[in-house]
Amino acid sequence: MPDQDKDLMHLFVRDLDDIELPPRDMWRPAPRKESQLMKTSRYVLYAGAIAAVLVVALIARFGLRDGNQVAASPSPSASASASTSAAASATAGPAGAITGRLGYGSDFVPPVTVYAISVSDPSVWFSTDTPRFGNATPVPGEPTWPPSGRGTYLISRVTPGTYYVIAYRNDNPDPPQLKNLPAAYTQWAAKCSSSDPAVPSPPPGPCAYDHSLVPVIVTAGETVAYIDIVDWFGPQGGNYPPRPR
Amino acid sequence: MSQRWGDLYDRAFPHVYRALVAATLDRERALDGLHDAFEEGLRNPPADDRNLEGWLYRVALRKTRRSLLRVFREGPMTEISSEDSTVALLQRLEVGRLLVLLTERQRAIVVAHYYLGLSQQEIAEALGVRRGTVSATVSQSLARMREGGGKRA
Repeated sequence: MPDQDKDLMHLFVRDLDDIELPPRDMWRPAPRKESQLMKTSRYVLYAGAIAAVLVVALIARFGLRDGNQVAASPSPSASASASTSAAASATAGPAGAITGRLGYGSDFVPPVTVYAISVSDPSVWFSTDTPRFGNATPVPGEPTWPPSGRGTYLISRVTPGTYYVIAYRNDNPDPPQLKNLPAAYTQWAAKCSSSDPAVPSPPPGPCAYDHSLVPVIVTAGETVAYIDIVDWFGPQGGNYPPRPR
Repeated sequence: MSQRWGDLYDRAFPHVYRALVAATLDRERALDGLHDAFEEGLRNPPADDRNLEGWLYRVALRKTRRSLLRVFREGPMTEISSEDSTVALLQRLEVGRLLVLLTERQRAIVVAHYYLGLSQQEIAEALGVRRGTVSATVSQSLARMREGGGKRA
């Protein structure tokens, strides 16, 4: 390198090194700030996503409920599910339903809560409250015992599984020892007093079936019908699950 | 990788920044160009670290709003507006006073050669021009600086 070049280099370095540097924190670019437009767009995107999720959830919810109603209405005018509740341990997802006839050995049916109690875990249960059905005239040709009072129930949004279906009285009967009297879907109810036209009528005389509980299998999206609660004879030699609280 | 690139960038920053200020006569443009070069290095780091200052200088010059290429297109003698305070700073420096007499293209090449220490071949490669152009530009620039220095004297 010529001496002239070396001198020039020294001169350049000496002089240009005097140029003041910016503060150290400015050496690198600051993180890019989000423009107002980008921020707004982001919020709109988030709101749209949330709205889409809500719409899908609503469609799924109403679609499922409509499906149950269609399948669960063999006698919709008499369906009197006043309220339906589920235990906190019940899981969400496609549900089924249980419906049937209520019967009582009088000309009325007392107000009851009908429970579907999981066979495997009694802490899991679903229920519906029904009002008093009163003084209906027995349909000609149908047995007068039981029942004479008529009503139906519907337990909806039941998680698929196997359940016992048991009703407990909610009124204050006379005599008081009938309070909390249970009725259930039993062998006797299924074979001796079923409203299911497919079930053959029992032969005349005492019905041979006992009062043990019959497990009811609920599958997703299906309504199990003719689960008649007409057997008030009690467990007789066994125990029903206690009333869920 | 980004940590290593950041370290290399920080080490090269003072030298390249001063070269860019001298070439562009604008501290803001110099800093903007270096910021862009830093981000470019994060995305596509140079394959060879050995001439990192040359790489940063080239990329930053190209990234400035009035890039060197644009200056080339506008013509070799085109003067560009400069930041007054930077010019005032350079006017206080012996070399700075002479650099102000040059075009941006001339300054870019002279500074790369005499301050960053790049060879004419390295400058040609870095700036995408022929080596002969670099050589001619250096000669013209020195002549102009001598002329300007003589007039001042």
